[in-house]
Amino acid sequence: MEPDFRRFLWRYSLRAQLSLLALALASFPFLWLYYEMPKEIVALIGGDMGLPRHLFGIELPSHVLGIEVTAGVLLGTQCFLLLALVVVNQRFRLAIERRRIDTAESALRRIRFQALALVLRFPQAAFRQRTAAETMASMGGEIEALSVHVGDAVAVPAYQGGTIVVIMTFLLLQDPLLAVAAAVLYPLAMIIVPGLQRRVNRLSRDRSRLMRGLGERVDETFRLITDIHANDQTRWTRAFLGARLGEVFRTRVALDRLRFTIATVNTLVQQAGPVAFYALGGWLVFQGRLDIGTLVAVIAAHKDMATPWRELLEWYQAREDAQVKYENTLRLYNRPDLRPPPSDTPPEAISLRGEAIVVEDVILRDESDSRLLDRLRLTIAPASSTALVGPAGGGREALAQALAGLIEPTGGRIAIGGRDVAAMAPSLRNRRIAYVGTGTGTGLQSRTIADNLAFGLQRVPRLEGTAETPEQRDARRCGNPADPLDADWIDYDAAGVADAAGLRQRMIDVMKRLGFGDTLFRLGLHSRLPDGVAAEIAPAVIAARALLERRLTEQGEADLVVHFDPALYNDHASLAENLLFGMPTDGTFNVDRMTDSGFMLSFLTDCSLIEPLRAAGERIAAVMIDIFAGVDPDHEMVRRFALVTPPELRRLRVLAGLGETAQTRDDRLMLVNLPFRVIAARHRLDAVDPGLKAAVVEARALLAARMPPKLAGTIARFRPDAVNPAASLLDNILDGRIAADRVGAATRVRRAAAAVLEEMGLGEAVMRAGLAYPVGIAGARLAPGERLRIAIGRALLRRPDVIVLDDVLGALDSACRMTVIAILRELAAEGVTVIASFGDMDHALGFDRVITIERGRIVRSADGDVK
Amino acid sequence: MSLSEDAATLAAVPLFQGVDPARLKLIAFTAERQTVPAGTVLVRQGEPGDAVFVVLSGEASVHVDTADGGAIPVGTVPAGTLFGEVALLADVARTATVKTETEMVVLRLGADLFFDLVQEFPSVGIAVMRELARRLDRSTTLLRDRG
Repeated sequence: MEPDFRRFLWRYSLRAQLSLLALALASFPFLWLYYEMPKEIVALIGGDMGLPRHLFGIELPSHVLGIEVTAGVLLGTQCFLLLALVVVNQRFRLAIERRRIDTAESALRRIRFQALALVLRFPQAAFRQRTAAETMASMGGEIEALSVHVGDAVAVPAYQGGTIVVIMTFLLLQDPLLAVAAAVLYPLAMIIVPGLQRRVNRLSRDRSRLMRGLGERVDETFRLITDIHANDQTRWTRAFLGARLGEVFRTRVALDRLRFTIATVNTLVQQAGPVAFYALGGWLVFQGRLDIGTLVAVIAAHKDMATPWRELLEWYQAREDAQVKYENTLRLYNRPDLRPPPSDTPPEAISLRGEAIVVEDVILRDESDSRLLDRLRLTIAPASSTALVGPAGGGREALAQALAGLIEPTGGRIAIGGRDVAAMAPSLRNRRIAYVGTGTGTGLQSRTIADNLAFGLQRVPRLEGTAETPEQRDARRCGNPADPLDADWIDYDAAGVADAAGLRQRMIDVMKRLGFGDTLFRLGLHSRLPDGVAAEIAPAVIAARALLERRLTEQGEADLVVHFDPALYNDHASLAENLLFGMPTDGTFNVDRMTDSGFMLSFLTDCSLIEPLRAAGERIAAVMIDIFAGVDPDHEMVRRFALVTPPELRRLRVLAGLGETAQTRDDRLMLVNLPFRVIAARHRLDAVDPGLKAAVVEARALLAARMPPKLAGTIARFRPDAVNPAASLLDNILDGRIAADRVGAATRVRRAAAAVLEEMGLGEAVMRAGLAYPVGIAGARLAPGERLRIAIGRALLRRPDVIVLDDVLGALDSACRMTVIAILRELAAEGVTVIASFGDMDHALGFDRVITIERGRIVRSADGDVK
Repeated sequence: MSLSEDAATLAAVPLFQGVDPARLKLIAFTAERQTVPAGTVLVRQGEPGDAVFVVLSGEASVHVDTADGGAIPVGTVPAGTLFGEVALLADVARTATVKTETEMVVLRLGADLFFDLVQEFPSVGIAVMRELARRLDRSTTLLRDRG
């Protein structure tokens, strides 16, 4: 980051500032004419304009283009020109504002990115001292105000200052005495206001500092809530939070009072001005030294001066403020202990395989200066497995992180193949050394399983075509990276595969090995077919349908699945699915609000379905009101089990009290939409009666024939000879629905389907579908053990030369731990240096060497008990 | 097989005496209604429990497996009983095996739903408590009569 706000300003926005200046200068002549015109209009109306008549001071002949210049014609012309000038002036303002906004927003994006890029270079310890909330807060208000000023830097003084000069010149030319009077009043305000404004700025800085502090305290309260209750510290915490609010309160009151004082002074000056003009100007008019037209123009011009004056004043204050804010931001982010900046140039291909790791007298202190590692000396042989054991906090975790280059030793060094690990470029080090941890700063991203597995392989975006997109141009202009996020970032070589298909295969192999195969299969079975996979396995899925049908029949369980039959109503599918005989592929067509589609509404009307649907809706509404009586509409039970949304339930209750006549058109449509959600066998509401079912089946074919192609494109129809991209893989193989009213049907059908898929060799295709499963925020949709398996799989996929498992083994279930240890042993045999840190000595079985670390020192080093 | 019929059946179940009819409808609506063919093992001893059942019609027999591999019949589950709640409430594996004797119709309440109902609607909780107490009383009587 630039060390100084001014340098930042000029370096990154010089061209924009110059263009703003040019625009401002170009606008002034039109501004001048705009002040001239009213004077002539008033002179014309007041009869002060003699003959010959004139326009902008230019004398007019009696006839122009054969039209006589009468007073009426001239007035029309004058007014038309004045209007044109208003338009021109506003066009200038618009152009300036657009340019200004663009400049300010570019600066905001640039400075935010610079700050966030610095966050990525913070040392690990910094993340223990600061919270994400705090960083977000400093990204907000302060930097925003700063960037606004970047846009204003030249535009405001040029445009507003110029406006004042134009108005003052105009006034001077009219009457010097009046001009002086007008000029004196505003500087008067300028003497009082800046002092107040400085205090306002100071207070508002205090306020944002206090609010940040309060945010941190609230954050801490959230984090420590268990301790607060466990130690009965509620009363003290209340007082503590209350005291903070007190500080905020005092600052806010002082701030608002000052603001109002400033507003009062400004208004006073603005409103006192005209009084002076009436007195002085009126006297001059009596004297005959001034005509009324000029006086009116002068008063108007003076009034127009108020805004530019105020803006100039605020600009001046904002500039000082921006400098301070810039320095504050710089101090927050530009820490002295930043890690070296990343380099985008691809690193030389090196291998650390077969290189010993030498730990030379390593000292490591934490931020409170206590020693985590105390002159540790150790040589780790290549192609071996080493266990670091010892009590938590004894130093093994610190050593594990230091070995992966995540923390830098305070003294001594860790070298691998003669290279200092801490000094190595991250693109070299952290591509060859893999680290899997369980502590803060580790975990899964809210993406798919495959994305998470490929996290260590995203290296250089593969660019297709050379044309720069508008988004890339914007990014470059703001100093942001132009790397497209949607490009293919995967380094297939690093994973030892040729392409995406090869990578998926390897992911499945690795995850199967880690005991994740069953989960992947299960997730795949319930996932929609990913686009790439659908076409490839469609024929097999169709074939699987027949096979499953045969298997179920053999077992006498054919009735556990109810197939989609174009001529029959399926009680295990929703009414919407029965009518559409398909499912929407995306969110564009909301089946819960069927009638929002104009076509559907008219279709339902044509088929005379509206009235039966509404009647069914009435019955559903009555049941919902009945069974959820006395339950808050926002209650969890309503959200999970009701057929209606909380707002709908609320409205239905109101309607039930008012009677049918109170229904609006929207209410009636809501009722018409309700039955579409009903799954007859599941909901057993009797709302969807045989008559309605028959009508729906009858309308089905007609709907398919009549549906506009655009709408039809968003619905995947059930077809016996094609896969349905909107349905899950399981549903696709069933070509129907599980008869949920048969006990155990779900389990038995699922088991049969899985067996059929395996038999047909589709097991891995299902797992591929499972790879596309989104894991949820921080992997919340998976169990902790499953998350850890993915983290380990991620490291294995990268084929590292050194792999560090920090406190991972202890967090795994015993079966998986045995598998992982077996994998680690194989890796070591292949030449990988394996290091695992854990607390329980029992897990050390199978390691070549076991090193016990306590209080930052090695207390024991022994050859492992290799079975 | 309509909701109101199920709710009416529930109302006749001794367990749900005194529970608000609207609540019974809610239970009938949120639960899954399932048909169980005769001779089906609905609940197997030792397996984890994930649901409770209310028998709407039909009958099942209850067995307890012994250490030597035999099975001792311990009673029947007639229509109108709730069963399977022990495994959920005590968080233990199924304590007995339930096998249908005739075709049976049950309402299956998943664990989440069962706990939600008990928590949200005290009347349902009290009904469950009453049923447990009645069974405890029956066991005590049985023991006393034997002793």
